[in-house]
Amino acid sequence: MAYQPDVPLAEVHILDAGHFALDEKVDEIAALIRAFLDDPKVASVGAPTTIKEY
Amino acid sequence: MKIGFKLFFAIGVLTMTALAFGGDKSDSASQIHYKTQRVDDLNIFYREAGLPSRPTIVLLHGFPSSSHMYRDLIPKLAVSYHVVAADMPAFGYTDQPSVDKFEYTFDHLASVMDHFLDSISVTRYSIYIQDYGAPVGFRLFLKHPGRIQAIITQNGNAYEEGLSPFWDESIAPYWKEKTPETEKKIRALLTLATTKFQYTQGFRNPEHVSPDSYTFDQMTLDRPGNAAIQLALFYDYQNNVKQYPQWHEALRKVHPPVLAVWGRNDPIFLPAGAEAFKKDVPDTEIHFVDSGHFALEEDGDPIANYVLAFLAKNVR
Repeated sequence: MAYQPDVPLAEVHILDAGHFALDEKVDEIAALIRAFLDDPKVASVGAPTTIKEY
Repeated sequence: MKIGFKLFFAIGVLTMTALAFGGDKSDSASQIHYKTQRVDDLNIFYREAGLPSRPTIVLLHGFPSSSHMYRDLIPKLAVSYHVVAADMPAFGYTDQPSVDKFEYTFDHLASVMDHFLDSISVTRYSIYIQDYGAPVGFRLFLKHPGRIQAIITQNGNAYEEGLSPFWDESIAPYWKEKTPETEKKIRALLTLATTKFQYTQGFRNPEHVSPDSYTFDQMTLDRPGNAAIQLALFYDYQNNVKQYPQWHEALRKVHPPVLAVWGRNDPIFLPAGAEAFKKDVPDTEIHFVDSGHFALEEDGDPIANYVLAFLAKNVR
């Protein structure tokens, strides 16, 4: 949650799992990552631009 | 409205069956559950996945592995089936009673697995057998021919034709006479070098093999007391060969659907061992993959596809 003030585009999902959440929720996490990376908003931003502006 | 209610009712039933074996509402069908069941004064560890309302597949592991050898196969089958894979006594995470407290024979291993399946109310199932899984699975088949819906053998031998020269060189001398020399040949099979050999010999590419496989197996072999147990089981293996004719007779009488999917370069069980099933079940479906003894490590996807297609045709 704390990412959001600094990275307004941050997409936050809270999973019902613990520290090694991949052990319990790998399908859900993989689906979220794919959807996040496929989102045109995310694809057009990219880290290098962000770093230059900074 | 009527359809809506039916759908709602169906979802409710599915959810309840999922909860019945320890699932929760957010579980996908392929979610694996890691469980322990008390059977014959032993803690039996097992992996379970898929809806219990679907047909069950019981995965029986080989030496020196455990249900761990099925870790990647389970979610692939669980999309359509209820999958159960238990560790036999002294393998994987199941208890390892010492040789003076537990009689290490294939009869006894099969009896524990039979009681285990009863205890979780699995009374109708297909078996997937590899290596030691074959003598255990065939004992279940002899005891309950009506319970076994189909037999899938992956380098799970049941015919003398399948025994490679390895058996005469390394094992048979110990059957003839227990001496320090013959025992030495068996003890050599309990080393990391042999375990790694089982997971790499005849494989297309060593980079296809996760070191998790032989590393974990070897950790279980290296536990104090385990070597004496493995010696006892290797000695008793001769009783499997003696039982082959009984297994063949049962195959002829019962005529279950059989799928033989075999790593063709297995140094322990030859491709002839796959072909031989046709002698007793002429319509045995046979496929070879270009891999070794633990072929699942290299060809998990094609093997899963053969199994799913075979079960779709033969089991409901």
